[in-house]
Amino acid sequence: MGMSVSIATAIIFIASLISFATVIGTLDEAQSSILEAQRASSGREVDALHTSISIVSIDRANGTVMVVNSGEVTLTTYELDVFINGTLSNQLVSSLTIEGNNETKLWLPGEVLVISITGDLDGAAIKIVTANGTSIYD
Amino acid sequence: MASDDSITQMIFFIASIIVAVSIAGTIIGVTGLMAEEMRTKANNAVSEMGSSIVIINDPRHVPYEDGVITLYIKNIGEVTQSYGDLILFIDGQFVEFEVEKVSSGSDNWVTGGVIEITATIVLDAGDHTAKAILGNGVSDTLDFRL
Repeated sequence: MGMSVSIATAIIFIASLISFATVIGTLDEAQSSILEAQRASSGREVDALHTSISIVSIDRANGTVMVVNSGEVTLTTYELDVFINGTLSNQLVSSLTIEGNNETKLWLPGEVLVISITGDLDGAAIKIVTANGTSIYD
Repeated sequence: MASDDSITQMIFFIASIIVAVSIAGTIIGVTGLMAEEMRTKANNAVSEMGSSIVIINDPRHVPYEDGVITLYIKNIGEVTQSYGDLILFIDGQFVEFEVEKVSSGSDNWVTGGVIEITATIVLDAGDHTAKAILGNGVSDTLDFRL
């Protein structure tokens, strides 16, 4: 009788150990992936908070909009969306260049981006949206 | 008599082992299910935290012609989204819509990608609200005026 109790206890004890190890392993994995996602999510929010762009000038006759990166985050010239009178008009953008550097795609803080748009901008409502959703209106 | 005792003891021994093994199996099985559930919950939380969308329309000029409204939604999260399970409400009313991907490239709605949604709905001039909700509950709302 004594031996059967000991063996049964040992079996249940080992099963408990296995269960405990499974739970701990999964918890650890879940926690680290959630922490990583939280870190990335806060990083994105901080970037968005520190992103700011402003219109320097608009030459409506020639279809040129000059926008300065007035925030603290490096942006890129791709993934920029331009709305003219409420319609997404990326196809009308003929060139996106950083003033003083035609090669780069990086739009660093303080730099001015020159957006050339085909067509008439007279009286048009313009909205420009960056990759992280920050926007400006004119 | 001694032989009867040993048979009884043997039966008890086997029974106790069977009971112990069943309990152990149940414990391991239940724990496995719990672990699987935790993993699913964590994956959902990760996907939710990595998702973010924004309705990028110019609220002053939302395209609305012949009863068809056009909305542009940008994926600003880190996760490639599927727009198949996107839900759209305009003024609190569920609206059926057509989706067209604006940015070129793959068929998926990748980070930085914009989709164009067209929905048929009767809207009067005035203030309106559009709300887009992803399958994982992440949403964005745009207040606009027609």
